[in-house]
Amino acid sequence: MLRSLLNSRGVALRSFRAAFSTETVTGAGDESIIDFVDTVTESSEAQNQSFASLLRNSKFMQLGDFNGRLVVGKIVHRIQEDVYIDFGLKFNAVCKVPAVNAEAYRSGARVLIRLLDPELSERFLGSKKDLTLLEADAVLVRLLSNVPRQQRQNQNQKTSEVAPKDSEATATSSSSSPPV
Amino acid sequence: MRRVISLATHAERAFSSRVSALQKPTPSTSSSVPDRATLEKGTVQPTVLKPFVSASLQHEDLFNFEKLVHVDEMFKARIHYGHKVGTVNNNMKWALYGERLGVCLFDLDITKQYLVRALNFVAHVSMRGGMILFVTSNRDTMFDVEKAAEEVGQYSHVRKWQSGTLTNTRQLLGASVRLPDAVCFLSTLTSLGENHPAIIEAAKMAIPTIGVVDSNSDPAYLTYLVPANDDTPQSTEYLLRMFKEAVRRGQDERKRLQQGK
Repeated sequence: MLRSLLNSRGVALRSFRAAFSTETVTGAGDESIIDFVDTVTESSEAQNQSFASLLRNSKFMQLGDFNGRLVVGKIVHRIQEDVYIDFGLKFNAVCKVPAVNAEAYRSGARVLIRLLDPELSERFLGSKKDLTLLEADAVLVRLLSNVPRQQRQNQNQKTSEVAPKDSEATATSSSSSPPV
Repeated sequence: MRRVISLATHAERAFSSRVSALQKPTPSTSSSVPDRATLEKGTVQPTVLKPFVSASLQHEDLFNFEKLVHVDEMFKARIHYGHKVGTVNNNMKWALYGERLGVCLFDLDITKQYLVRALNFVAHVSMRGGMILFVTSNRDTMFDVEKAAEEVGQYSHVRKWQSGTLTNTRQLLGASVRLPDAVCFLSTLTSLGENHPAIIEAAKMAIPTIGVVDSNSDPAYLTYLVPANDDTPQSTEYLLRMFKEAVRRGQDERKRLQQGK
């Protein structure tokens, strides 16, 4: 389901204006991902479970090999063109904001990232221990819309009016960003 | 006596009765001061002095922190995530549950045991009117630590540590200063991966320390260890909540005792 959704979204992203027209179509898909993630991470009937069973049933274990996994994260911090994405492990992932629609990548927004490494650490020649950068390595895939379903339905009419304005704003920001 | 304690049913009443029960026999036992031979033996084997220590100090968990600390809460706060296995300190392997695809994981049952012990110590210090200094060098959590310390009327140091702050107060501050009675480290490593200089200074001044140690930290010279994740803000938030509760329980007990007198 995720792959088909991504494909549809990838097609949508090819033309920026088309993204807004398909937004309403894929919006329901975004919602279902967020709902799914919320229910999985925030289930808390596990009051008396042992650590071993908690760990066994955790998303961390279900993730398997980290390399190349798609995970949902939340932007917790933004410094100019860098966003810090919290995806539920020890460290935040630091990614560059894409030039397109850069304004939407602000703190609190949900994003889909492709996880490469949960912690960037490397052993330098001659040292006995790894040196760690205290951050995760990931590639930003795309933004997940974060608007609840009711609001979205209410705003459906409005977005069609606002969309041209948004595209202008992002176009100006993307054109102004390279000199900065 | 301990059996009497464990029989008390209601948590609130259990606590007050526990303390009052413990206070009564204290004068009778402390009247029997250890003789010279026992003291000499105590320098080699400190456990022989245990009967002479106040009964409230002999209780493992006087403030009932066993009920406060939950493994699932710690799990949600991401306490169990360690660093990559390549950075692990040999002296921290005792606290690890294992390694998952190169990532170390703490055993939260061990962490709970050690956290309860540390909280018990903090509450005891606070019950006796002690001053606790919260120290961290983690930039992400420094404001949380400052705020938490202020909320419970304790102290914090989260900026650059000037060497001699504890050992050389006369020179640095120009007057004799009261040193903290306990130092609590929320992260023991600086951003460069070196040990926090305050650990050694506290050890030199015989100040007991509580240290949250991650899988890459060095547990040396720390009195009470809490093996836990010290990098994630959620984890530090949880630990601060626990330490604040410990300080509050100690303060409440102190108030109660003073009013009782």
